[in-house]
Amino acid sequence: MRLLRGVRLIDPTAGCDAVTDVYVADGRIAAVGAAPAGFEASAAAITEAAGCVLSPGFVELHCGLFEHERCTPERLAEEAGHALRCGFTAVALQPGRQQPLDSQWAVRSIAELDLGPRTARYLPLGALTHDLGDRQLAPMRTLLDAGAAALSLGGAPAPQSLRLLLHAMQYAETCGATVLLRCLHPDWAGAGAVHPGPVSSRLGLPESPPEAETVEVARVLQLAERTGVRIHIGRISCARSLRLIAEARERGARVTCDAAVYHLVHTGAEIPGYQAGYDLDPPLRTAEDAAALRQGLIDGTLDALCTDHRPAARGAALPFFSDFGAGVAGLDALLPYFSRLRRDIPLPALVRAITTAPRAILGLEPVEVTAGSPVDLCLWSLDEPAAVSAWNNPPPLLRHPQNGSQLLTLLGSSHAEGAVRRQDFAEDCIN
Amino acid sequence: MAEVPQPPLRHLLTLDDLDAPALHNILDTAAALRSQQSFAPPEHSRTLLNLFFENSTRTRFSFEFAAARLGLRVLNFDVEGSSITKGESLRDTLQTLRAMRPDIVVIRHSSSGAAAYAAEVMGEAVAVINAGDGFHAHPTQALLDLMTIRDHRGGFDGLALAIVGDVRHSRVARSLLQGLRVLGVADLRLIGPATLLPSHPEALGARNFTDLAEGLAGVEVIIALRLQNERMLGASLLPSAEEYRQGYGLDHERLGWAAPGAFVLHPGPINRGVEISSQLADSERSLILRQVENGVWVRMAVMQMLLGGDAA
Repeated sequence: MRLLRGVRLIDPTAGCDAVTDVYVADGRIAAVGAAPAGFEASAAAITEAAGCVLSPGFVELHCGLFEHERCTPERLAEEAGHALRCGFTAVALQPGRQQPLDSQWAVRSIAELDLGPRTARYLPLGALTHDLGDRQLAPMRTLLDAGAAALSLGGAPAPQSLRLLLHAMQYAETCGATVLLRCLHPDWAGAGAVHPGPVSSRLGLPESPPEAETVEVARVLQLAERTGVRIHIGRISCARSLRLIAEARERGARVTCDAAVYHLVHTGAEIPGYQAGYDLDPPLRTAEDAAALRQGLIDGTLDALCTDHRPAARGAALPFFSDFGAGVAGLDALLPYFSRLRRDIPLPALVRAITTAPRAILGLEPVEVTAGSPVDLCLWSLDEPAAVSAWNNPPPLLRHPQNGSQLLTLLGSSHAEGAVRRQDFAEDCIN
Repeated sequence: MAEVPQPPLRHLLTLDDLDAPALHNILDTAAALRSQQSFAPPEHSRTLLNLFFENSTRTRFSFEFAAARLGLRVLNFDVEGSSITKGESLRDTLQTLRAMRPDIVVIRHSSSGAAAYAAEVMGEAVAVINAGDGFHAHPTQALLDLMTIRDHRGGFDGLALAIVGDVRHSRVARSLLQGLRVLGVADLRLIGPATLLPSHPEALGARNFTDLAEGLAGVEVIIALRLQNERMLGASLLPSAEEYRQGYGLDHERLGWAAPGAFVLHPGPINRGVEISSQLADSERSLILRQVENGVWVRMAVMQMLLGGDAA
């Protein structure tokens, strides 16, 4: 039995944000608040957790490992371990150009992968179309049966063939699947471009206008409304996209959306030069866009956050802007960005956006921090004095995990799927 | 780069870090080399490495020529035959070349920011000269343009200057505008169809004009940029070269729209009959060959300054 004494428990499912005591034993929550029957303080390990937050484990919606490389099981296990160390207990593995996850075998090999101890779970997303292309539907039902949590095109743009997109949505709806799409017109996808502004003119970088996103959002929403399919629009960057999504939702469309944490904080005008960390896809937009996304998180128009974890392939050169494809080693970035965002957004809203919201989008069971629930938790501290000075250390966007300045310190995370992980939780998270 | 721009200059990546005295210093050095016309005997103790990832005949040759006059040994890195094409990363290539200790590396690359990246990898050991990176900067071209303008009109006071053509994708224009701004030139105009103009010209200290006559009114110096046909048409920026000529091609008649005595520069190579007529290009109103000549002097001056002034 372990007691977390005086921890701030944020449990969006229960609507809880309170300082309390949490008791953990054998991979389950033994009690919250009052001690469970038969509890003996002398026999328990006690962690003084005042100033720490206990939340459900984080869930990443966009892990794009397959965009840049074919991953061996060892590489996947390594990343899964890294994810857990960053507080993520589940990671949606998007199909990518290198591994499109468009066959039963491909999905099953991920779903059944033995990652070993101290790792996050992978939730493979099956391909919506064959080879993520513009021609043929993927065997969606087969992929779902093989363990795909939902269907997606990863980083690839939605098919330009309106007929194919319509049919893909209709078929996915028939299968009862959620479709994750990103909305960026292929003319601008992955082009190392920035928002049109003084920076693009000054640095001579190609421009990606907001319409590259918003026109696509409108197109996808219209078909989603027609077909009734449940869609999730990932990684939006524009205020206008958010408005279009909110309007469609009012008309009854089953649509959710997320944005990467960077787009709530930074703007294209901040880009100082060719530092590759700022080469994001979609690009950083305006201050109004960032403010709208922050407001959306508060009022619920923006459902979820992600880190858009797409580390550059191993062995790739340290890139300069625009030459190697956008990408961020993002899992490490979450807590530093939370430190920044909590000035504007209540912590429970941030927690919901990275825990219960993505779980619901992916169709996972909600996590509850109540007596009897299995452990799927993340414990972190709000280390304010360190936060301020650390934030000023450039670069704010990270390509490589080791460069991070962590403001909210992750103390540990775990989910209970067997004895080894239960042991982990005791070792890694609480001690 | 340091904010204090005065020598010693370690790299020449952009003109952003040079103030007016520093710019004039380079131009003065180039002018002194030109008037001197004789140089120390070659000693071949210093090495200049040309690292051109984009095709270039004129610029590369100008650097070679300048280096030869200073007695530097010139090596050309053959990108086509190198392991870069076999997948070796740019970083690995740069590190390998650094280990061989050239004194100067001249780099041209299609990616904006590549020269700064090369300087970062090369560190203090090697001086890097940017011979053009993507759409970003081409500082020696800008310096030779500045030298040509200064020669011809004695300075930059009260200058009104127009750049005609694909400014949006032009590193030449970007560097020249930076230099002119530092030298206090306030009337800078960019002329072309909207597809070729920067979306935010104020960031470059300039104004956009889509009408040639309006843009040229009162202008004393006109820079005609090369129309890069392949890129323009392929990226649907222009319907045809002929339509561009009709709207923005320069000739004697249109030169009359500018200030009396206005003259024309062009970074070359020119498309005769497209951005500029043959008659105008070959006339006394064109300073194109003076630019080519000054290119060598300016590059010598830059190399000499990067090497600490003891190369000549």
